[in-house]
Amino acid sequence: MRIGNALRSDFPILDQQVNGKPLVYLDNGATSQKPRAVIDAVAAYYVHDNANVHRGLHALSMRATAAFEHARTRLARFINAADPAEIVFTRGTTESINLVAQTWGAANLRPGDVILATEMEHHSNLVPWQMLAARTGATLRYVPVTGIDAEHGLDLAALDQLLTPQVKLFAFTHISNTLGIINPVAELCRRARAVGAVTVVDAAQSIGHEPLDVQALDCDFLVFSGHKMCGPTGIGALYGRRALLDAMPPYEGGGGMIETVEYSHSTWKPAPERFEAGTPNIAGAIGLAAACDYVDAVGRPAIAAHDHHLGALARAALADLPGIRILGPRIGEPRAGMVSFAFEGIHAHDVITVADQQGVALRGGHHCNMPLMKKLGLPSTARASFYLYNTEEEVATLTATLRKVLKFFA
Amino acid sequence: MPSADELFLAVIDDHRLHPRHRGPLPSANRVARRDNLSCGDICTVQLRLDPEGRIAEVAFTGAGCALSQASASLLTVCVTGLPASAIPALYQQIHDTVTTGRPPEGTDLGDLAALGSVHARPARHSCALLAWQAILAAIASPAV
Repeated sequence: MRIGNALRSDFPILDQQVNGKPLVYLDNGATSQKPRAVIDAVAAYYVHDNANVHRGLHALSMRATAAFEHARTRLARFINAADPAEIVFTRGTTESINLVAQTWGAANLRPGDVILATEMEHHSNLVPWQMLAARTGATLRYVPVTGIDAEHGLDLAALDQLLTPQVKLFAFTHISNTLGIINPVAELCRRARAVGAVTVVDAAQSIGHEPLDVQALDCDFLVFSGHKMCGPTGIGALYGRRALLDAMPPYEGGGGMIETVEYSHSTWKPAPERFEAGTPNIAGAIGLAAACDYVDAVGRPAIAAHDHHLGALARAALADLPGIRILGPRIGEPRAGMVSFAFEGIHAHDVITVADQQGVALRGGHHCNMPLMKKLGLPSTARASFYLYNTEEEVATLTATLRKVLKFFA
Repeated sequence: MPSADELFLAVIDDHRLHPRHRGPLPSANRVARRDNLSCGDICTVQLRLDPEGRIAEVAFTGAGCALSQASASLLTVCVTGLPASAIPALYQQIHDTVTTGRPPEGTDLGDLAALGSVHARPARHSCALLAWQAILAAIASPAV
């Protein structure tokens, strides 16, 4: 199986020194690196085929359109959507969520309705719902996260009380970017459906890491970014059930989303074009399709097993460090490929600066999850997050580096 | 010859481990607090201005990263005895040092020059400047 060390040479960026040390890139939760195949696909589009898509009658435009629509089909297959028309290209997870909030949300929510989210949501799956609640008079509620280090995850018992018929929409993450907790998406979708709530699954941390099948999960919407799965930045998608997308009002107005325009009014194209006003990120979509091919050639079950292994290894190794507090699942419990931690008396930004001097790239701060950090009583944590090219040796380097941090701040 | 980064670490480490003038200042007649919301650093600067408008005493309290707290400690050492009216110009010099990596032409900032090492890490500029923003606000605040 090609994973870890065996495929590092596919990623040109990994072969470099940072501050005189070999780069150990452990910030995959923020963005992944790109394999040569993706970089080449984007470059080949600009070298050979660049033109605007749709309505093009010349050769380059027809080629660009075919490649762009092929990317849509490829993405549909990647998440097992029933129909490529269920894939709307966006700039990424954040825009996908805002699109649902501003179209489906604005058309369907009334005062007295409830939007349900969870306490572990990234700001991008929290702030748009706050804004929607303020606009519509709906109420925003949260499924609590339990455990002193959030180790128990979502309070599924409380979910029964919270999932009332007033809940019109339930938005939750597949994998918490702060905790490494993997939520039971299919169960949450089933329980939401039982009260008639529409589901929005934030797959930002799971896309390209875990096998994903929207039909098996039975979700209504699923959102993700390409750049966290070996694809380019600035491209992502909204998956939406066809019947829901067809009934939604447009998002942005402009070219590409209209059927007819008169000075007094316009009519809209069906989904997905209705939600894709303006020239799309054609190169990004083509790069994302190449990323789907790359990830599937490695195999998502293998990637998931590798991620989980490195996450568990890091969880266990870091537990031995004095004064450390580790968030999320305990040793032996399922964990995605990431570990967030804090040292007593050492600020996360200091940990990350010292680690950077050793060539180790971590992320720290509130991880776009300020309310959860406040609830856990932490100003910030540092996070190591893994992907298919990371290795057991890098986990060992991380541990050794954190020992240096402790020595420095002793 | 130690590198600039090593000098920076030495100065910062000295002030982190042995903070000067840390704690409340009961005789203070000016106070201001500044928070670095994105990373949770907090710094309160208290000072006593004498009748001539000089900073007779200054102290800080707070919590946060080593850089924000060490910068506050450095500040207390460097501004004691200065006229309050000199602080805005000094702030500008510190700001320029942090953002460009070296003190403006013709200025001698002594140990404060170590703060220039942070210029290559833009995300940490706000940590280094936090205490300085607090003292700017403190001297502009009404007497307490």
